[in-house]
Amino acid sequence: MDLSLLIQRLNGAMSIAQMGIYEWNIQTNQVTWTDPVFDLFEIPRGDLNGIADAWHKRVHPEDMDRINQELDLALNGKRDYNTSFRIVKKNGSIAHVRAVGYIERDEKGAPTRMTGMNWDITSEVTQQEENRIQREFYENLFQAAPDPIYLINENYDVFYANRAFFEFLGKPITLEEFSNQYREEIRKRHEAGFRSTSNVEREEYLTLPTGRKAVVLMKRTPSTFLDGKRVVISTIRDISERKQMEEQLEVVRAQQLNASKLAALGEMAGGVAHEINNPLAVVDGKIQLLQRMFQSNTPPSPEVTLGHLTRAREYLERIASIVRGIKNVSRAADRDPYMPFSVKDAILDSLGICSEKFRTEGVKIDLTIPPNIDPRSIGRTTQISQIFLNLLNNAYDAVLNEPNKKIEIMIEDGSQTWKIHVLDSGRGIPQSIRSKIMQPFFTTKEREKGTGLGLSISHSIAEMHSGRLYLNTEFNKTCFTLELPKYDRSQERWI
Amino acid sequence: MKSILVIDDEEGILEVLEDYLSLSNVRVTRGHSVESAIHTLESQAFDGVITDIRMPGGSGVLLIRWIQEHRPRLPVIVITGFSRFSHQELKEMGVKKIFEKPFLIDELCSEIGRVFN
Repeated sequence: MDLSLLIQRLNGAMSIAQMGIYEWNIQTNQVTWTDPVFDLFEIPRGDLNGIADAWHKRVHPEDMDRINQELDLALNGKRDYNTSFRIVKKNGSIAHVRAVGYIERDEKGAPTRMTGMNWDITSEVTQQEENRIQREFYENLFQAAPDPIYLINENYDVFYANRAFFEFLGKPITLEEFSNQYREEIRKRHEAGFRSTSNVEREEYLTLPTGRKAVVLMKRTPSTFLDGKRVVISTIRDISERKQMEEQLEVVRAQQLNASKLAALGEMAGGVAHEINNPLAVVDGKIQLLQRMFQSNTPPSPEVTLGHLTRAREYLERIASIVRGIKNVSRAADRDPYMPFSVKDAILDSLGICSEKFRTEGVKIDLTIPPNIDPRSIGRTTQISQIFLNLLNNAYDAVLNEPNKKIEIMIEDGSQTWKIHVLDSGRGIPQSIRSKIMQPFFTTKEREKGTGLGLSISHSIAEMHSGRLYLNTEFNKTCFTLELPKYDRSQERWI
Repeated sequence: MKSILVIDDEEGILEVLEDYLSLSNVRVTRGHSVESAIHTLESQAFDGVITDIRMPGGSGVLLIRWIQEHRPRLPVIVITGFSRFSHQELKEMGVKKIFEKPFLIDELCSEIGRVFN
């Protein structure tokens, strides 16, 4: 094939690709360009005289020195000429140019001719730049996330993590060191993450390299990278402080529970003193009587003595049941385990404390339990007694000024629950305040008589026991109903 | 033989006082409420009255006031387990002596001998 024809065709192909060829005769300092180079430098095609001028005018001033240095190095044979530079277009826009060149030399090694190509790489550079900006954007986003995030591969290497992760660790350590040191721990915690197909979120307890113990909410998202690698992306939310606050709140709540209970007991205290002193006076009297009789000339017969002693013991038992009631209701029970208990005993404990007050004021109390049932539930009997004490206190205040003073307690066998109804013969609760009665500090009583906490605390105790406390409108009297889950013996094995 | 009226809603107290005072030759008439006591006082004469304060159906104070008005010379002793009234207030109502439950029956007896004359 004709060489000139080959060159012509090659030239055509290059033109289509917009790749320009230049030739520089170093000895004569003559430069020849093909059309794409003229186009690139924006001078008329074939304007050979304009080349030197165009070169100096168009090459970006900041790139000029570097290009010249690189050219020198190439001419001296120190390295290949393969570079890029910017040119400033007539309209002020910047174009990026890739330049390569091949240098021919004479027998002494002096450069004689340089042949090479220039072509426009602006779109590639722009694309790269955009990619870089995008990458940086996502990297910044990842780094700026306030929660620690880290990625784990199937070898349980932590291979990527954000700043928050390192801050969370609290100690300078590289990911490699971290992975090697904790690999087994990491494996245990993330194995399931690799097997799962969806997010797994749960609370976990961690001991950090600094020794700090943290409670965290850990979210693991399994993912597959474009190259097919399986990874787990883990996000940590440090909830230690929140947990601590919740615990403190729990303590405050328990204290509040206790305070309201003591307030309820306080309301009953006067009655309790009277209730104890009466039988105590009887027991004491019986003993003094017997002493006196034995000291006299006619000591009592065994029958008479036994009669007095038996009566004395009856009264002692009354005192004992009151003391039991106070003890059972007043003790701080917030740490008690949940145990099966008799609902009836819980009611009797609270009645033991307030029955004397009711009797003294002429308030009649009726306790109705269907025959042949032994209602049992599970929980803290002391707290349940506290609910009854509150309900009885309220019922007492409601009937105190009524001609007919009556409080009824009824136990009903609901299908799933025991329903304990406390009814009173008072005037009822006005419709307008019914929605507020369970709210803390809401009270209709005088300042000394109520804290406004009784019902709200009883309500939360009921909920803690998976039960319910509500104003029951099924009756035509005021009725509060406490529903408690039935205790089932079959549950016993896991208690 | 002295005759006194004892009012207490606690049956055991009445029982003990009756047994004990009978040894000292005092006859005890039991009263369970203020209302029944007033009824009894209207028809019978007594050397003295012993009453509780806090009772269902009416406070012992009502009885004391009734006595102050209708039987001003009838001496009253109070036995109480818990009362809203101070000893001073009760004495101002004419009460001669106040015993807090539980009390020593011997002391009550000697007080009865001294007061109910």
